[in-house]
Amino acid sequence: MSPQPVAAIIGMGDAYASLKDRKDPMQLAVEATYGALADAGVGKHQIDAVFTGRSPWADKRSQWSNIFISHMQMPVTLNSELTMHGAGLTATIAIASQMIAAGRAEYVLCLQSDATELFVDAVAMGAEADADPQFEIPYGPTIPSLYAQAACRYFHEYGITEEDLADVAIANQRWAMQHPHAAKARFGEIDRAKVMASPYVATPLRRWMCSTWGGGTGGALVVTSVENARRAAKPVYVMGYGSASTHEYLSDRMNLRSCRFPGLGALPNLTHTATAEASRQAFAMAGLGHRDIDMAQISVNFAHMAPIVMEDLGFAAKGKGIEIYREGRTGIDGDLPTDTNGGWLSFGQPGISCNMDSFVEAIRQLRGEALGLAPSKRPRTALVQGAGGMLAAGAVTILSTQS
Amino acid sequence: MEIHYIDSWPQPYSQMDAAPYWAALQEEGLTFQRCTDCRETVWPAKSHCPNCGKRALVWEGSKGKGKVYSFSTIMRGPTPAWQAIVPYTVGFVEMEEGYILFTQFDCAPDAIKIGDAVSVRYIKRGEQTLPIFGPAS
Ligand SMILES: [Zn+2]
Repeated sequence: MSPQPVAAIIGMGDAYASLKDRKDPMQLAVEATYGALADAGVGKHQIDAVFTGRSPWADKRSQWSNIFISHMQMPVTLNSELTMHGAGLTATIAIASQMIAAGRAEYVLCLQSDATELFVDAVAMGAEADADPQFEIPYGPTIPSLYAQAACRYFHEYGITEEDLADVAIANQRWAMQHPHAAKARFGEIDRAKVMASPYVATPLRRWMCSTWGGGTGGALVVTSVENARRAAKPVYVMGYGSASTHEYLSDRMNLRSCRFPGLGALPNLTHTATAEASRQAFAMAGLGHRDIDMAQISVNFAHMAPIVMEDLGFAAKGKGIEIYREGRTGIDGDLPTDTNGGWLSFGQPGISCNMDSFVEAIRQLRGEALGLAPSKRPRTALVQGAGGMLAAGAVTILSTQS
Repeated sequence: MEIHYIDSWPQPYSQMDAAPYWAALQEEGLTFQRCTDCRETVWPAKSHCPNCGKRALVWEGSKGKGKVYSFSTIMRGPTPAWQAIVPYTVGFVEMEEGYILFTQFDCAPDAIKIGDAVSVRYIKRGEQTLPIFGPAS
């Protein structure tokens, strides 16, 4: 049987803020939502349910999705936040698809916004948000230092070096240079020497191997049935999805003795993530193979996560993910253009909305409406991978312009 | 959740399961849990064994010895108190008893590597004594 879509995205809206053009998370969310509704040709009273990721860093009120529908004066049957960090946001499409398949919703709105650096001291807040306040915070960890634990092990187990990671930063920066909203675009082209000359943030990660915050973004998607999408102007079909969540704090992960997901590998390890299981589910559901994927938008907040995620997605064997970057396969002429807005490393991570930025970029590219560079061969399928927390959760969605 | 600071140091957000752990540390004792049913070591502290599900956990003293599993030296601290002590190194120790503990390494940043034998020492931050690890004595 040929691959069958399970739902469709018929409306997309995006919004941007910067130090010169300040907008708060609610303003970004509202702007993106009205953009998505107009794009879909749907009114707000037709939206049956609303899903978001967890509260924006720049507006940490709990029950943020309640606050959003309240602000919009948009009563719905169900609204909620998927709290598995950025992966939860990526998985909103899965929940929307499930409600639609169950006949409990016709139109579902999935959205997120954030503007961390415009409103809060993220360095101070960073570790407190994601490290264990009982057993880790008393030692002063930062988010880079927690991700660096994985880099330390990845180097040790697979012989990867800092120079290898420089190649990831270089590849992503090439895309970012041409994107109007990419935080690092102004720095222009970089090379290995430039990356290796940047100071350590937390060993072995240097500044160019770490994402930057980068302004504010909002993104909203209207999801509906495949049947409804046949009347839409520019539908993007959801072919498959998957997700997995293994822990909140790294200390729990390190002491996990067994796991139901074979993709997590032999325990303990810090070199396999929940993305492996999410990917397995998504490909199985889509009925597609890795060669069918024309483009990827993935979660690379630190450079070593690029090869690790590529491996977990099944695009390379463990320890070999870096070759995808080294061979130029993620570039404009490559067979797997990846992070085409510059990714989290160079586009930036405005906050939790970075996972929605990945969807926005995928949909713009699939529709031929890129704000920056487009791959030389127009993609017809895209894989969007969202990770979150301290290697805590992963979600994968496979999209296609073909039904 | 609000983290409590004393003398600018974040104090552990103590949960009831771990109360004996924090109390023992005040007397410079390092402890962990073991399940009396399946014999597995258990960490972080819990009320039920995650391995067998039994409510059969007891506290045991650790020898305070292990090997470096992973580490990272922080060059940019999260708050002024931490910024004042950079560079400092945090990471995981594989304890001899079979559990893995997050800690700070009292080692020169260039002198530490995976697999190094380390042993416990203690440091008081605010009102809480914490276990940190340095080269095995
Ligand atoms: Zn047990």
